[in-house]
Amino acid sequence: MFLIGLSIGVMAKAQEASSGIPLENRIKAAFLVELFSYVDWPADAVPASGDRFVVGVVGEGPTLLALLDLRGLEMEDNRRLVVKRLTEAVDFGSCHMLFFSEDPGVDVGRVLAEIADKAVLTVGETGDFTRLGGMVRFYLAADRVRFEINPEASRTAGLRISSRLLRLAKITRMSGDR
Amino acid sequence: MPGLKDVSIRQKLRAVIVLTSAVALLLACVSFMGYALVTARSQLVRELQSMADIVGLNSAAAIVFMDPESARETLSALGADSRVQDAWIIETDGRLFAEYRRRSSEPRSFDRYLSPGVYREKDGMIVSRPILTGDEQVGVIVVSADLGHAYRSLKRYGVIAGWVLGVSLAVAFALSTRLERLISRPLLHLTETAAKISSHGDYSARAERESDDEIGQLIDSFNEMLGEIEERDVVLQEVNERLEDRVQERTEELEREVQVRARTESDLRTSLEEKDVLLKEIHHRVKNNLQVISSLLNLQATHVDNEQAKRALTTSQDRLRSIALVHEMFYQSEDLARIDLGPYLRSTTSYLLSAYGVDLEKVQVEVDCSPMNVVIDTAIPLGLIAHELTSNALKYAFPEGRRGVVRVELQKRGDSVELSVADDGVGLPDHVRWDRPSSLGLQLVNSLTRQLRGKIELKPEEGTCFSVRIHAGLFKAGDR
Repeated sequence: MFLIGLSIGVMAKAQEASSGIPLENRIKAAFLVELFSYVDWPADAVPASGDRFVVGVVGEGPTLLALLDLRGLEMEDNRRLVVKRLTEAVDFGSCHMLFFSEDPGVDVGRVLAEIADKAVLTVGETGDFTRLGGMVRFYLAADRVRFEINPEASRTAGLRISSRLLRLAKITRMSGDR
Repeated sequence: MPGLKDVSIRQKLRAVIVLTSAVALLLACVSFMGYALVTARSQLVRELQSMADIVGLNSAAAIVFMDPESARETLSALGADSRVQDAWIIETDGRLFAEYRRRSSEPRSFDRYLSPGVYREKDGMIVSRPILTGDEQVGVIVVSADLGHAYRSLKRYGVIAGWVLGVSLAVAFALSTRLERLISRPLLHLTETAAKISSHGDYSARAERESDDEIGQLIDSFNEMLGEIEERDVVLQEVNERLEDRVQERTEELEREVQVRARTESDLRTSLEEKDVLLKEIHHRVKNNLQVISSLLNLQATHVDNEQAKRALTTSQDRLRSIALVHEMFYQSEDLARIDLGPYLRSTTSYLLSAYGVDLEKVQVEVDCSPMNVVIDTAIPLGLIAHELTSNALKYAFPEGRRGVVRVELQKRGDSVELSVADDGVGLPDHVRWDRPSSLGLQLVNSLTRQLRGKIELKPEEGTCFSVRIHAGLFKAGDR
């Protein structure tokens, strides 16, 4: 957690240094990293590269840039943060976390359906992300970055999200047509 | 406790029991309450710490995800505990992240409590705990609680303790009034017995023994002592009675003795009185007989023609008269054994003056005598000596109407008594040898002086002065 504080501090400095990345996106990036602490992956589902946390980013956007700034960050359990830019061809299931940016450039619903039973934490920014089967969605409320969680989706994927995280989040369900 | 010193032993015992119970209970209550307070404090600290830890744990995510609203909600759960007054979640850089404040509590500053620990304030306890995720500290949670609760329960304990104390003391008092009798009753009984004995002097009374303890032993000793006193009393009584008998006997003896003595004394007095009467009677009769003889001589003188014979009879008559006067003086005096010579000498000289028909205008007689008591054996010779010398002076010193003075003196000089008869007359004729006299008068004087073992001398003065000295011892009492 100290690292997050530190990283946010670093980002604030970066902004002051006119890095051009909005605070909102840097906070989202920090939250993404922080999510690792509140989600448990099933032991057999963690990718072989045991010393790394792999975040796959689908699409472009300022959040990606902020994430890239955090690349190589050492997590509290000595694992390093790895950020991958993903294209259609890549196997989405090789990441711990998939982040769908504002403009993913893919059919989010299809991708989510494909990996629904894989132990991949899906995070998105688009308005219908959780209704499409995504697990965590960032949104802005009163100028603050908040998130909503779809526990059903995470349960299907075999992930366990900490109740403390759930308590901070708005809980949603998948849309009825899916 | 000076106030307790003089009260009865029952009250003392009661006071001791109740006071001891009270002090013991009070100590117990105070230590119990002290313990309760300490326990309440440490329990409060423990509970606050665990509450703070739980809330901190549940707020960690809120801090991380910058959700103070959620943290506030979590914090407000602390309000369920009425002891909690304020709670703050503070970020590591010291910024307030979320706050809870009970409506009643005053706003206060949290800056002092940033480092984790327990702070004891005068009105409460403040616990500060770190908020951790994993090993990292993301903030501090500070919870303040007042001790009002603890004090209230302490107060409740106090009230309960007060009741317990009161009830216990009442029970202790009730018990003590029963229990103190165990000790006080035999003691009071002993005291009563002792008082009865001292007021009535009845040593046959005994105290009853009720118990086998020290008081029982005391009562035994007391009774033994009484027994000894009683025995001694009996012995004393006997001795006393014996003594009284002895005194009685002795008194009776003495009374008898006194009676005997009184009788003896009265007998003696009676016989003494009889003797006195007899003695007076004898003097009287001797005097009367001498007077009878004198009268007979007087009668005889009237029948004698010879002048010389007549003179001898008259002189003898005078001498008898002088001796009779001594006897008269004796039976008239109080003391039958002695007479004062003064009155005698005055009386005999005045007789001589009238018998010789002395012209009192020409010849005077002066008698100068110290008071001097004389026994009869001395009085008669001394009286005769004075008589002879005085009659000589009156007869011969002043012939042919010569004027003069005759002095008769009786004085004590040293260890002798001097009788002197002096006149300023013509003096002794040269042919008269006074120490070898031819006249009967001077012969008598010399022989009587010898009889008295005295000395006579003629003093070389104008006229004639005879002085007779006799030893003063002859005048002493009992020297008969």
